[in-house]
Amino acid sequence: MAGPLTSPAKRRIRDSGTVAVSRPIADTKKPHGDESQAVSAPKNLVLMWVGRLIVTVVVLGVWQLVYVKKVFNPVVTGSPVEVAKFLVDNLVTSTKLWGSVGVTLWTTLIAFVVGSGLGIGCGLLFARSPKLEHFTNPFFTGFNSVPRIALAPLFIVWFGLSQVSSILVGVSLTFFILLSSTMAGVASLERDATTLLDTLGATERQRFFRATLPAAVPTLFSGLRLGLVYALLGVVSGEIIGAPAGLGEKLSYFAGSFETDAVFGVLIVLGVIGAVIQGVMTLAERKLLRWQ
Amino acid sequence: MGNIVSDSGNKSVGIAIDSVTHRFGPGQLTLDNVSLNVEPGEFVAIVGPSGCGKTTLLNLVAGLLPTQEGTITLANEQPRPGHPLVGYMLARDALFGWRTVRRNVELGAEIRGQDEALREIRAVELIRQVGLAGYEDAYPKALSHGMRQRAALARTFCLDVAVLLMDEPFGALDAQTKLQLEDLLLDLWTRERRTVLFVTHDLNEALVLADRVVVMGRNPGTIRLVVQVTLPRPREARMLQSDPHFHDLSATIWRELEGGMGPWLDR
Ligand SMILES: Nc1ncnc2c1ncn2[C@@H]1O[C@H](COP(=O)(O)OP(=O)(O)OP(=O)(O)O)[C@@H](O)[C@H]1O
Ligand SMILES: [Mg+2]
Repeated sequence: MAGPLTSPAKRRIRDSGTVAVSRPIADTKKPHGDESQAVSAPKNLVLMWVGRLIVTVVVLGVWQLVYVKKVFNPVVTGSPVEVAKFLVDNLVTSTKLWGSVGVTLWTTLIAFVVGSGLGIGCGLLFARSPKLEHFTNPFFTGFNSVPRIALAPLFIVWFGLSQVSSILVGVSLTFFILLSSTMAGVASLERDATTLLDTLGATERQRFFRATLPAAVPTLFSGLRLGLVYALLGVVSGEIIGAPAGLGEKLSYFAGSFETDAVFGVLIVLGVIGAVIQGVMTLAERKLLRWQ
Repeated sequence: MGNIVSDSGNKSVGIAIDSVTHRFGPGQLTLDNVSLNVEPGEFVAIVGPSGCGKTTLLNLVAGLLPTQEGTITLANEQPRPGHPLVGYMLARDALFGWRTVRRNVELGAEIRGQDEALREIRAVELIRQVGLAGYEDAYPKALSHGMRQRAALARTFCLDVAVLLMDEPFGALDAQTKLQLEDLLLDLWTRERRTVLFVTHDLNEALVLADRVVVMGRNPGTIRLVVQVTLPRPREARMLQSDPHFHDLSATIWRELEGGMGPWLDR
């Protein structure tokens, strides 16, 4: 699950070629291959972006052509020009869509904080008490096997058409991601480090704060990144199924009234939100994990 | 210089190992009636084939394993993990990737609650002594294998302990780096004499470093031979490599081992 979702972000770091990493003094002897790459990287990068631009223009052009020539029903296809118009009308000249953006962002944030808080907490608890982990394992595995979106109707029955259902769907996704990444992170402390701490007579507290936690941070971070993406996924799904507000609710409303351009517009907004979230996490990660 | 911030020279502590037998399971006799006295300030090396129980013996002295039979005494105490007078250096460096070299060197002293200002002075001084000056704020990923092991050596000495237990600390290094680090260890040991119990596969390494070499055999692990190393100090690993007396000693031990008890190193 982690693979396909984290890799685009990693690829993005590599694409930008010469990421400015403050190199420690020790790193002065670069392997030869590195240098030649550094020289050709900007040229490749320009070509790459030109290529991407061309692909984008061609796709949008074909789309607009299909609309203008009425190859398919124009109501169904929509057109890039109309989508752009929708976005400008609702985000720039008026603020109609901003309210929905705000609702979805807040709901996502709440789902993320609650879900990852519970997940990390449970993960740490289980790491401390393997017996508890062992005992509860079947319950969690069972719950984790249920497609969480399928819980949304139940949440709606319990909490009505409110953001609470969306939050709960988000939480139920984020929780398990953070639970497993916390446990994997805690387990990533090497045995040698444990032995060293044994010989030093480290206390439980010292072990946790000086070794277990910092060793877990990289794994924890990829968990948080994924958790945030899934919080958004859960919340938007919850909103589509039934919520009084939010981008998901707008999406299902526009789709229901065949406003294809608006549907595409909201999808673009959601895409941008997802990308920004990833970007922020990448930045934070790079700052926190300079030692890697 | 080292002595300014260290007082371990006064805490002379020996190790008394008396009739120690260890089993990891019924019928699996790993150590059989091993006795060894290490004098305060003495450098004793243990050599022996893989699996003869060298690490097990060291772990018993460190208190990482409970003593089953026999007794081990260290500063009038039984071994226990985290004993403030004992330091342990592992074969692998176990540096913490998220700590800079200086903070790694300070780790042991920090865990044992030594004064912050003092341990920093000591860490920086040791980093200089092991030849890593300028790398204080580098992260381990930027260090070569040999440099990492130097940092681990500095971390071990930063502990300011009376007894050092070292388990093949240079085992995974290339010959050149190994000689360098042996000299470094001799240098550090001469400055601040500690009691050292040093495990190695390498008889030459043992002869370069130690006052006494203990040769172990396996199945079960026993002490086969103890050799007093008469080479004068100060010694230098690279010089000894070309010293005929050194090679005589090495050859004598090999002969004695082969004549006395058949092949002891079956590898
Ligand atoms: N935790 C353990 N549980 C069971 N058996 C063990 C354990 N640790 C060591 N042994 C066994 O005890 C014997 C001695 O192991 P030990 O690690 O002390 O050998 P060693 O002399 O240090 O070998 P090497 O030179 O390869 O490091 C081996 O046969 C090993 O299989
Ligand atoms: Mg060993």
